[in-house]
Amino acid sequence: MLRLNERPFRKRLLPLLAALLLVSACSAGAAEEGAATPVAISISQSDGRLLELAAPPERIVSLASHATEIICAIGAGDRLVAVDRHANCPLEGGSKPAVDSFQPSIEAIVAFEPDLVYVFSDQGGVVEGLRQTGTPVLYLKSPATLAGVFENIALLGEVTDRAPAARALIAALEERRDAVRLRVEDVAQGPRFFHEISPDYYTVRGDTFAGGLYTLLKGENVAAGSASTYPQLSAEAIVERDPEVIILVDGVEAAAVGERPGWGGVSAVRDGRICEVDPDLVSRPGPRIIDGLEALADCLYPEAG
Amino acid sequence: MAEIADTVTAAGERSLPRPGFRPAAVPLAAALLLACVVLGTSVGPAAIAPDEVLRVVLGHVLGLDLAVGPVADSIVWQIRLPRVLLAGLVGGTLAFSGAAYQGVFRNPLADPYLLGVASGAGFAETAAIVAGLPLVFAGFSLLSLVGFAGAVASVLLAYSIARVAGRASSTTLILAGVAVSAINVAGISYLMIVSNENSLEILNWLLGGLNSSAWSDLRFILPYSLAAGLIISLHGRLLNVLQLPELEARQVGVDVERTRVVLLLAASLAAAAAVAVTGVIGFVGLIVPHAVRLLVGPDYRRLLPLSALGGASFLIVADLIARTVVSPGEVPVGVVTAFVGGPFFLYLLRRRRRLTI
Repeated sequence: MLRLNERPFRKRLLPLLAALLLVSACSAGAAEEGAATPVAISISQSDGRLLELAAPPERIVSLASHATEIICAIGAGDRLVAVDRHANCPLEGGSKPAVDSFQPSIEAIVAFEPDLVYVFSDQGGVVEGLRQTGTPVLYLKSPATLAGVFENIALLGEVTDRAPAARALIAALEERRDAVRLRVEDVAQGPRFFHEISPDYYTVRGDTFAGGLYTLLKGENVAAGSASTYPQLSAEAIVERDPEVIILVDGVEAAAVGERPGWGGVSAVRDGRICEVDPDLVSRPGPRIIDGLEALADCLYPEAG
Repeated sequence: MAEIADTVTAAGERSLPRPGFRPAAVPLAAALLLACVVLGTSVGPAAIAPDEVLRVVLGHVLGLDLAVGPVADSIVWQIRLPRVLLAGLVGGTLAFSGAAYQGVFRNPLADPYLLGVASGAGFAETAAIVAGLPLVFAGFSLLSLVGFAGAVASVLLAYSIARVAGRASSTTLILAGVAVSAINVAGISYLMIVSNENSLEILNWLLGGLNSSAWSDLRFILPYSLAAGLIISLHGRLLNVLQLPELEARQVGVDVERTRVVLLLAASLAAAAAVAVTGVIGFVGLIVPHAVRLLVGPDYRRLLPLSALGGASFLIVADLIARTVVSPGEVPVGVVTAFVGGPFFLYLLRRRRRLTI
């Protein structure tokens, strides 16, 4: 029921797809990487506005860590003049100046004289504020699925004039995703799992980005049927539903789970099937997401590793 | 002195309206609390038959092996029962602390968080989370100790600032408390902004809740609650006297300043212990004493025990709703206390107005 290409997601993706087609159409005639001919790019943004660029931007400020990681991964890191301070991807040439995407300061951003600012969350009206200063803004909400991540990579490849590198990256990531799919091909129903995003038992439902990874892995979410997308489960509900695997992305140590009152009899605790996973890998819709998918696959199916 | 205070109270009682005085109110409230504990322990997101719940509890209390399933045993004895008892203890503590605060300040808007208990604990715990201190959830919680220290430090700071020439006036004390709270809240906001990877954790703490309750939490709060409850209930008569104009209270031989300090310290310590374990749970400390007052009148000798019992029942029921209404999920218990308690209080308020008119 919670497959990746769900309807609400599609609705959001359609404009992006349309934009991509447009981009591909425009750039089809243009020379490949490093060409002097400027590419006219037109992108439909999350607020319905159209962004038109006469040439690939040279001075990008990225307020989204996933976009920063994508731009680095397709070899356009030198175009970044400032990045969100939470981006921790390996940046060639040392670390970039940092800006804050949580409480963005328009003044601080404009001071970098960017010719493009990538925004994924319109905090404090930053999108309109930047546009009013004449700064080009690319406002795209975070992709909600793996397919959305690949679309986003392709789009950033076009924007930075690194389309071949983006295509190569997507191909490599898709290949790894397919390998994981193959691993679980013969699985009818994977293990019951609890994905813990905070020490007081907040978790994800299947229709979230991280939850969708488990759907691909055929895991059975103990939070299924919850009222909200990021529900807080009660301890007794978790113990009753008896997860076979627990995935900790909240910095809690695996050994501490068994010490929780009443958790000693939980299958995952008894069988020692508790994994600690870097939250950035499973919640950040960037190129490392496949690292996250593989880590989760190893948690759920250690024997098939 | 006690004799004089008694006379004054009696005189005061005559002049005050006494709606529905019921001598059996305390046993009634105790029976209600017992019913709430039983209900709270019997019902939860995990479907466990009432007779199995009973066997788990009896088995542990009497030390017998009554052949219960291990899952039911874990859920009832290690998760549900401590949570219900903690809700009761925290609800009772907040309510009698709130009653004492309201009596000391003679201010109907006073609650146990007035002098910075909640924000002080919040600031200290936020700092601990951001600094990456280990948060032990099983066994003894380091976070609770830090929060407790922050809460006590805030109250002492407010009090020492307000204290001029050996005594602190109510108004100055309230203002100092408000200012200390504001500083704490600003500190929390700042820390949330500079470290937004921790903001979810901090926000959860601020919302308050009983989700990771354990027997160790009960052991943490119990000594403070018992000591404060004892001290405050021994001052019921003096709290009645404090409701007189300060000069009159002095004239009947009450050391107003000393009484205030003792009551505030006791109430703050207990509230600090509660806040340190469960985070901020609003509404209980403010509204339960008022509801009790509307039901049985303003005599603190009756108001204090009834607030404790009523607050305990109230929070147990509120938490029961919080953990079952969107099962298997939870809603913050503070949402329930205000959403359920608010209309009930408004009903009482309206009924009471009809009575006086």
